[in-house]
Amino acid sequence: MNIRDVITFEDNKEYVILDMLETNNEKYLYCVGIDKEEKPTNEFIYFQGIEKNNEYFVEEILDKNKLNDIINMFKNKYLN
Amino acid sequence: MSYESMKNELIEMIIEAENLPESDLELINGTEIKVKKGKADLFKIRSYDYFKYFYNTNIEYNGSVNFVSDIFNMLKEEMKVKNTEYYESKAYDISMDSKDEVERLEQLKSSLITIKNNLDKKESIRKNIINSTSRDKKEKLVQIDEEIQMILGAQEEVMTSIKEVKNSINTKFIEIINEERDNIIYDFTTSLRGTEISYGIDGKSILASDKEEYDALIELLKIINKVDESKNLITHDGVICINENQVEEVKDLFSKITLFNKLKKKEETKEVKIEGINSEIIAAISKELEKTGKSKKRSNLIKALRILHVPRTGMDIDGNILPYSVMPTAKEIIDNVFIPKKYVDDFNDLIKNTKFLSEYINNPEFNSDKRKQLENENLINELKDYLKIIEKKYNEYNGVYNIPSVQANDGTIILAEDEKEYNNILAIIKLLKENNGRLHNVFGVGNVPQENIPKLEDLINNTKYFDDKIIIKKTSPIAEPSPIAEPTPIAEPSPIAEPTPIVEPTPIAEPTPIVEPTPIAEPTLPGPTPPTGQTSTEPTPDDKPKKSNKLKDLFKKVKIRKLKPTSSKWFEKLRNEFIEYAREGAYNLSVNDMIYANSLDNSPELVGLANVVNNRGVSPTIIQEDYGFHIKLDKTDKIVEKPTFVPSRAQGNVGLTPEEEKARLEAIKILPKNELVKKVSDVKTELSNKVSQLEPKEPITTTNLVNNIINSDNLDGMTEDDLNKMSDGDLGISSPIVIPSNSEILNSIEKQQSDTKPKIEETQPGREIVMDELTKRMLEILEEQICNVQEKIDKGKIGSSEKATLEKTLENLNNKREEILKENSRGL
Repeated sequence: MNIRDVITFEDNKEYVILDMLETNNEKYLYCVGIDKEEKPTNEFIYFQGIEKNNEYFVEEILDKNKLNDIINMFKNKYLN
Repeated sequence: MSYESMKNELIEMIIEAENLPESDLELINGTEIKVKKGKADLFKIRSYDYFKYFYNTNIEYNGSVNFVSDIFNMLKEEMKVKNTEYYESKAYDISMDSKDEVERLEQLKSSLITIKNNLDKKESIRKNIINSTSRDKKEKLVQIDEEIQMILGAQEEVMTSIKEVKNSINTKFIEIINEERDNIIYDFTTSLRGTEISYGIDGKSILASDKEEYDALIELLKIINKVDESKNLITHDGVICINENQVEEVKDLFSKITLFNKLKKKEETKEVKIEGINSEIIAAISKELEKTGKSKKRSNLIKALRILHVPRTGMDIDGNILPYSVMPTAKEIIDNVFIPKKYVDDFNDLIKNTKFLSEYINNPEFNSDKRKQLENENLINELKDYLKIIEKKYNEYNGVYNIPSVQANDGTIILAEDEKEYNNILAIIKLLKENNGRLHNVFGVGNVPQENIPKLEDLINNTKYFDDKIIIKKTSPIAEPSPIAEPTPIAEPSPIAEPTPIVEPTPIAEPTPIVEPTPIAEPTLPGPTPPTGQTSTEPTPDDKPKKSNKLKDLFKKVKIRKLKPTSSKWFEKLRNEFIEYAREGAYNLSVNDMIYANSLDNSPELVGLANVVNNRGVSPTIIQEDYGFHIKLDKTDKIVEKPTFVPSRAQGNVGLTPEEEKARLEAIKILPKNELVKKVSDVKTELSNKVSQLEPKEPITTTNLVNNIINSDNLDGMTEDDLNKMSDGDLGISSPIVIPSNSEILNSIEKQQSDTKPKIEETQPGREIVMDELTKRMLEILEEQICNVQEKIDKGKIGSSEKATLEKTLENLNNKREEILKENSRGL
């Protein structure tokens, strides 16, 4: 999973990774949805991603506190 | 009088009226209900009491008799349902009782056909032999005759068996008929005086309302006696064995008998796929019943079925409609098997005493708790191996190095450095062994009951062993039943709603940076507002993110591909915007933080304070309107709707409906001063904590503070003390106050004068006093700055050039102070 990668769900929904940070073997992805023509939609989502045995798994971050933490971590990323 | 007594008395009166001739009935005034003469008032009184009891309400009797009709209709419906359930259940039982014989009869009939076909063939062969001129004709005839005799013998046997089976089926059926007849006669003997009576075709006294049914039962008996065994036999509805020519007549008679009328319907519904609560186990038991003969096991399974049907039908096992919803208190004993609380013990007994139920309940395929227990067992073994490794570590070091050792909680001697790890593992093993109640997965690691989740989470978070072991064992998006996912309570007795699935909240609406690139601090970072009372922190990159206990269940498998080069342009634009906003967000309190401040007490003043502290110079109305963030709070200041961004509303109240405008005004109303003073202090601490964790992009200068105070719309709501504290740096701001340049001070104050003066003259005469206070405060702040600068000069530990600058600053500040004083005296 890298920035610019497109993640595709089983229902063919797709998101592009706009930004990413990694901590404690967990990846957090800031993504924008894309349509069939690969144009961005107005759906912006934070995912937690895991890579295991060359397979990729993501979970949308919905927990308010966790989301707040992730947003702050992204902020910190650009602090330096 | 008890609830049941009232109900029974009313039901008796209803039944009584149904069996009385019209001449003996009396109409209850105001209704179309008729009861036995002289009982109208009693029925009314009982209905009144029952209504109050049943609905737990006091009704005023004001002449209206609507409650009589309500209770009458309710009881009639209940009687109907109870009756239906009784007959359906009985019909099911009798059809199941004869099921084996019916199957046997069909097999025998099939054998008989085969035998007859063989016999026909042999007869044909025999004729051919007779007509032949073969030399061994005689021997062949003897042989074929023997074969024919054998077949005839078999045919005789089969026909005898058919007769036995037919008799067995019909004997059972005759017993049922006689039972039904007895019931009807019993109804007559227990009927009240005055009930309309009649006589059956056999001369027996019966209720007039039962005559048709009773006579039909007698007719059926006659038909059974006329069955010709030599003719083809068929079973009708699986309960009676008759000849083909009798079918139509039997059908007609069955339609007149309540019990037999249910037979076909029951048969039809048996094949219908049962969906909803307990559907899987019900289907499994039903299937098992089909191959179970008459036994204790069978009765246990039927009882289990009745219990399992309670939450589906809203009726108890006796067919009584329950006046409450079952599901909220039903216990989910295994996945999707809900047992009403009052039947849990009975059901557990059935499980103990019925092999099939026991096997079903303990099958890991249906019982996720069993599955989780197996997972726990594997994990426990894994952990025990790990403990051995730690123990071995001590043995390896012991005697070689002088490393401190300790005794762990289980008595094992280990290295002191492993004490916490070892004891944590022991505690985890102990937790994993506790299997009381439903088990819930924690971090995809182990499974514990609800009450132990926090303990296990804490232990896992503090145990090195699990640091890299948060693994995905199940990638299915289907989440396990969550403890919060209570099934929907049943509103009505019959079709029961499926447990409501958890609807995942939709992501917070976010502005599309491409469409609306606004100067908002964080348009792409509109994370949810931290709940009231929780301090938002700015974790360092080393901070360990909280592990989710849904980790295992909610992850979805995805595929990865590269973005097409043609999409680079918009991608770079979006990414850069995000970075820009994230960077800005890193130096400032986020818009979310301000919404948080607002959510504390719905006070825009506090948001204003946040702005001042944060050096943003943004007014609360900007937060609410110009930034287009809308949030809705309940009375306890909990956010009831997610913050949403409405770009079209970003410029004030343009386009708002009257209701929205009213809501807007309500949202920005000024709190009473005394309330504000108290709240300011609380929030100040909160905000200062946040600010202290940030590294400001620009130092917070006195100039900016002045500007913010000047530009803030909220000064009316602040006390002098608050502002003094702010100027004292009493907000927890760790950054040093930088002395502003001359031009900064001059510009800021000139800007203030040009900005505020017209307002005073043109539209807001009431603000004149405010400006006076404002000027006073500005002067105080300037004087404070003058003191600071003077103090710095006096200390003398500065270079000559810096000293000159400071002296110049001091001069400017003094000049400005004089100017303000003059300006103010002219204004007044």
